[in-house]
Amino acid sequence: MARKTPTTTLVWLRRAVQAAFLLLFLYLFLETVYYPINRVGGGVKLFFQLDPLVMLTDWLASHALAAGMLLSVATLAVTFLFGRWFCGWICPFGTLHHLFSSLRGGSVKARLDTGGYGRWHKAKYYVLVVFLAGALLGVNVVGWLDPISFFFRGMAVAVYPALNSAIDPLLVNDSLRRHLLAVQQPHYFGNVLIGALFGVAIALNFYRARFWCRYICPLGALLGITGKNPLVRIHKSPEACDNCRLCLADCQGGANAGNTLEWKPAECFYCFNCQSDCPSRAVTFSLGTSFLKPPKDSRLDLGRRQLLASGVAGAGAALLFRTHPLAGKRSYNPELVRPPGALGEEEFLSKCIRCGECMKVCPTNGIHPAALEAGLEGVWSPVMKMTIGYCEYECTLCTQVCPTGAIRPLTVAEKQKIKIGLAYIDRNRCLPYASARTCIVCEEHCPTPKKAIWFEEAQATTDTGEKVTVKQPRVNLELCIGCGICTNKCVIKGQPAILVSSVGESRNPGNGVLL
Amino acid sequence: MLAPALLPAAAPALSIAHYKSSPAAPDGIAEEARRLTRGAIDALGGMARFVSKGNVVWVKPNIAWDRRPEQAACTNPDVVAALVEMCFQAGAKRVAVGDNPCNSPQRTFPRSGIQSAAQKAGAQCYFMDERKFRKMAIQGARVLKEWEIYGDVVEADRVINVGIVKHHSLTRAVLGMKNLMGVAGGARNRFHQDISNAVADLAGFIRPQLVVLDAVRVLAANGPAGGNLADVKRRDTIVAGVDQVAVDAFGATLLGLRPQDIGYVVEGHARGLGNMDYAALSPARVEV
Repeated sequence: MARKTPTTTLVWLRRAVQAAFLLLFLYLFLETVYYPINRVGGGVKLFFQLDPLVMLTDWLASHALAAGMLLSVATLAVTFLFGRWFCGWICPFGTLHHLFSSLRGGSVKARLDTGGYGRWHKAKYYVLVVFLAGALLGVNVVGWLDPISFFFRGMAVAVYPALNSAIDPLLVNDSLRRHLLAVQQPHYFGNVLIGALFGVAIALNFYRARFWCRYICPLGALLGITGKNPLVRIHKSPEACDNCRLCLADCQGGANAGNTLEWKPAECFYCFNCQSDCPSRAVTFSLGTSFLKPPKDSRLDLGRRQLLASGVAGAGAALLFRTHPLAGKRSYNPELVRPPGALGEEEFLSKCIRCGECMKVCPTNGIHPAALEAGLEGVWSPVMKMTIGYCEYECTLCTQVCPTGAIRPLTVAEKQKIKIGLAYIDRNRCLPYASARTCIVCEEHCPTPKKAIWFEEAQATTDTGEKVTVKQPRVNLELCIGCGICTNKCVIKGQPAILVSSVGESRNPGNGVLL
Repeated sequence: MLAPALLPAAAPALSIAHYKSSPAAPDGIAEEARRLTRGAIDALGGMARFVSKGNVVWVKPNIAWDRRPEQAACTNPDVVAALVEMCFQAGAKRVAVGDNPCNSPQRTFPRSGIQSAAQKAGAQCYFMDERKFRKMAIQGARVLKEWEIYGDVVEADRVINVGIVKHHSLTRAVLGMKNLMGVAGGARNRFHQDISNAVADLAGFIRPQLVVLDAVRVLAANGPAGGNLADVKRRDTIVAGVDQVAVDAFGATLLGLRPQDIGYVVEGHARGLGNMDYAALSPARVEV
């Protein structure tokens, strides 16, 4: 390898800052957990609140913002003034990609061949336009590819449960277990697909350095547009340069760093590898004072036709989503039971970024990423799976962690009045009805102060012809809040004899049932 | 179990401690719970009758529900703390407090107040570790011939079962024997199909050396989870004994029931696990 130049202090500083933010992200991830009594760790929404892409799409789609989201205006302001530093220094997902990019090895020549700017860099801007056009029409699916959401969801749903199960048998130290491991091994539906996509996103770094950040990331695109005329600019001294091109070999963004005239500010992460790698110290960055003369190659050159096509694609998809029967309030999916505090379905989908915070924090493992329960538009949005977990009566954690307020903050008293659905009994499966056996485990666990599950004593005949009195459970629809602990504890697994459907949910008046 | 020969001749099998006043303030109730517990154990001959120097003791309260102490769904934390302290005073090497709850343990352990109270008293109070449930053959069982039981409980030198008196629709009352469901793992919701035999099987297997019943507050309706303070009644009583059937038989009366109303009490009596005619044991009555 030709690298002989000592790494500059600035690059070491950048690495330290990156490591600090990645560790902070992982720390906040672990802090997204139940603490006694009914609270979560502090600041767990921080990275989402710094994310202007989440803020912008949320605002476009729902015309309302949770207060904390305004923090991301600071990210936009800094980017406008100084460029895409967020990607190079702060973004934890970017740091993860950076880490894997630096593992890929290969010759300097190979890296030179694949490291520069190419037309695929424009792809992320079209991705952004698709999302923004959709958001303008009220469909917000940016969480699929928003980097902070993608990272958190991948960690919560796939990586952490997998690591937990791998470490669990090895770790015997009780204290370490309590700090690192989940209280109970988490299991999430959809974990394989989400984990595979996470793995692919990481693996692509071996094809191109920071593939995600260069070609896919819609947040990178937003910051690229915002910071394409920055005050911090590259300069290369033609006198000092001996054209060794080492400055290009480790350029993270593929920003053509080696040439003042060809430098693409919208693609530069300010990693300062070019400066550090230059044997003759010909590359420098300096702080200008004027926006009036943009860098020579700051134009994105996205093309009107392509932009229009992206916009039409986003808007078209949004119109299709919005005319799906579930979105049109013409039908309700009984299996689509949302966490308490979830807004009405249309508003909910315009705000939910599928980040997985609620899924991570739920102490019963009851919240899962949706498959198609909410239509294609709702993929990976939170849905309750009562066979895995249930909604704990005295708990409001999911309402505390939602960054956008798609699940609005609730007090325990407010939460206990909200119906997320209603339980109903399948008498063909329920033991006292179908088999004249005693059971009423559902009634035992029903958490409402006056139990929503009551029972009627009835005469029944056993399989051996014996006449017995059994307690047959019934659901009081006024009292039931759909928490699902009855389903969760039912003796009959897989398809329990008491189920919760979304019918009667408070958030969608059209899906009500009682007069 | 201690051989009968080691017991003091006059040591009663059952004691019932009742508090003369019924304080309303939290501090007053805490003091009541501690004094009643000490009074009931002392009347049995003191904790030294049950715990010897160097013993490992498993204390099994009811930590099943995500409820506060005043909702009377879980054992009073001060009763648990007092027992832990007495165990250490009797020379216990280690005291563990635990339960396999119905709601999530990370909620029930702190919310019941038991975790902090037990830890403050020096006990270990950790969530149960799924790996420690082991399938065990249960001798003489009618329905639970083989079941997952928490290994640490079986390996402990002494087991103290300390439940709370409360309403339960199926069995009519949760008392001491039913509280032992918290050392079982697996699909224990199936117990309901033959609850009296299942509970008696467990009680016959665990055979705690000491049974304590918390009836400082009792949950008179909508049990076992409760949640409505109007269903909570004061009985200002702690029952303790070596006869788990007799303790439960008396416990039933605190809910206005007769011993024969409780299926697992009747079953336990029939199997010779104890005597449901608690009065025949001449219980020591203590007024504190």
